[in-house]
Amino acid sequence: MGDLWTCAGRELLRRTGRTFANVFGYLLATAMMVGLLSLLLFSKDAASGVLGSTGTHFIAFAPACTPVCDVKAVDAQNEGFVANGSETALIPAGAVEKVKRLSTVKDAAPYLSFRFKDPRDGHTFTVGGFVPGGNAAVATTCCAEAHIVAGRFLQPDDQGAAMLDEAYARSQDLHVGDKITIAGLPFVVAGIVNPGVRPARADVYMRFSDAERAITRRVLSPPVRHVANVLLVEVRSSRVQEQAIQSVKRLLPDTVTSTYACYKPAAQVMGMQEGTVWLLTLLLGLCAVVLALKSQLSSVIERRRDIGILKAIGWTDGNVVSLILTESILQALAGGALGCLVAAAILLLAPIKQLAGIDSPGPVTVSALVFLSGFALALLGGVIAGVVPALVAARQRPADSLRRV
Amino acid sequence: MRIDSEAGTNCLLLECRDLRKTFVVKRQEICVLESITFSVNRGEIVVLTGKSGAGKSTLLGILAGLDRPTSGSAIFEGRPLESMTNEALAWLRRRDIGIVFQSFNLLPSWTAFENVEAALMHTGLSKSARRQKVVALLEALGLGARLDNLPAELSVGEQQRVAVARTLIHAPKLLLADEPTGDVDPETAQEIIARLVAPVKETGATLIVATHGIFPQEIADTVFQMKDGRLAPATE
Ligand SMILES: Nc1ncnc2c1ncn2[C@@H]1O[C@H](COP(=O)(O)OP(=O)(O)OP(=O)(O)O)[C@@H](O)[C@H]1O
Ligand SMILES: [Mg+2]
Repeated sequence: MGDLWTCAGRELLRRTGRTFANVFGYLLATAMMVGLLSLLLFSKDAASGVLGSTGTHFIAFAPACTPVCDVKAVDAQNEGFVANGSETALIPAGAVEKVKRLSTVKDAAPYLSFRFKDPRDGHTFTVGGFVPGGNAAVATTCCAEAHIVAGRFLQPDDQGAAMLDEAYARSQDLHVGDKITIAGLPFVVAGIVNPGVRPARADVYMRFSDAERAITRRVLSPPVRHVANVLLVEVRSSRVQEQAIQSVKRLLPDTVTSTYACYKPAAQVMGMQEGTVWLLTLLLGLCAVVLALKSQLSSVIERRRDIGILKAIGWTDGNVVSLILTESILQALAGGALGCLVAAAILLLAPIKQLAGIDSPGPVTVSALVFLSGFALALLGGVIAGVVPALVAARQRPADSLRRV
Repeated sequence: MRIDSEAGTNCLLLECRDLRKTFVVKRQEICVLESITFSVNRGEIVVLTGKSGAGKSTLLGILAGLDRPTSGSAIFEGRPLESMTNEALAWLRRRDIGIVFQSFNLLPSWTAFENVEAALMHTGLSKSARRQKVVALLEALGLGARLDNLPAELSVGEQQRVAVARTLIHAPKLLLADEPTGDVDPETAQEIIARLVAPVKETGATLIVATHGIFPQEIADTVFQMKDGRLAPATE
């Protein structure tokens, strides 16, 4: 065994040009595979982060005709609980907690959505009442800090503060700091938001408790307390969205849900991405092995004569196969290790994210598993690329290989 | 050497029966060896002469188990070579048969020492024992200062001596030498011949030398002429 390593090592060190070419082949194949795979996985994760939360939210409400715990508005003609353009009933208290406990649900929040009529000019507008404090469901279905265009976002202790939708503020010529009156209660405009198209969009936003107070003034008893007419739900991933909707409907049989359809293509794209990654991994691995095989095979053809000589002086086919296999594995080990190093260096040092156009916080992650499998594949390539040419070499008639000079 | 095959005596080492070897070149079969029948005893020296292309190297290749005859049989110590496995033939070359090639066939990336040592590599000898043996032989052949030189750094005569050393190192029973003195000066030729003949005298080895040129035929027990792939006793 020691002799084998000595002979193989000696051969590799003396034929520096050929060894370099072979090691470089493994290096290239490994670096390419590890690097591309890391990049692929990283970009997939980044994309999944985006796609996974694309359209992963919905609202649930009970249409008004369902007699759950109905509360009549004073001016039922113009005012009342609304969601998504239609009138709603109230959802029993405690529903939020039940929905929150669903495994497919990331977060849920109660929401009050009421249409008021301005007694001065008769225009109607909707008020959305939510509990400020960074609830994920509020952020995606209603509005979030990032949507602020002027002023600031509502805080948990912002009693008497309101936030206006940008379009509504423009139409009413309202600005941050202006005072408004809703159901006879005074509010100060703290901020203006533009959340875009949201299922729980409103013209005026305020704290949940402020909305309770305002609405209570516009309905026939009893006072509105600890109830909501809309449930805001954030799902764990677009892939379980359908499941989450079904679960909520089972929990609250009278509700209907409203969501975007875009979670469906997002879920599909994520599935496609996973398939692509595996296919590419397979192809890259195959390329690496073929590359290694080619370089080994050509060096064995080049060495026909050496192999013939060794056989002529009493080396068995097995001895020759072991030697070539050892050489091949040594080169694969060196090339694989160097390839991993090069890939790591490129991934960590080069501006990969900018080049690949990946918009994701944090550095490019290098997974030990990818590196290990890249290295293992290089080694496997070395063995395959060693065995095949070694067997080819062993089958040669020594007389034939010695005759070719 | 006997042309007929009177096998069975104790001292019989090698016997060829009706050997035939053909090659197919461009779909055409060319016959290189035809009806080769002879036997060689232990301790004999046989010289094969013949013009270039007569088939001497091809015959030696078959006798060394490097090539297989198209038909006929080559029997070494009672075992027909053509029915042996590659593995068994390799073992035969490792222990009993040594060949010096017309073109030396040294490994170009191995030093003189390593080339000779390669023949002992898988014999179970320890590294130090191998070193001792190889150095002693190369020194005896006047290559003591050339141990660590690659073949390309040696003169043709020196390369030939390394090739001879590689063949002699495991003291084979049958020595096959293909044009061993082809490219060397008369003095070196003398020395190489002496080196090849020595084991015959000392250990009863058998030597078969193929040559198309000048070779001291007087040292031979039998001289044998090859012509167009056939064997005939030297006329002269
Ligand atoms: N593998 C082969 N394929 C085709 N023809 C071959 C092959 N090997 C040998 N020959 C032919 O067989 C003939 C004998 O060749 P061989 O090398 O045995 O001659 P030789 O007597 O050793 O000649 P020399 O004295 O020049 O060395 C030649 O004509 C050669 O072309
Ligand atoms: Mg010849």
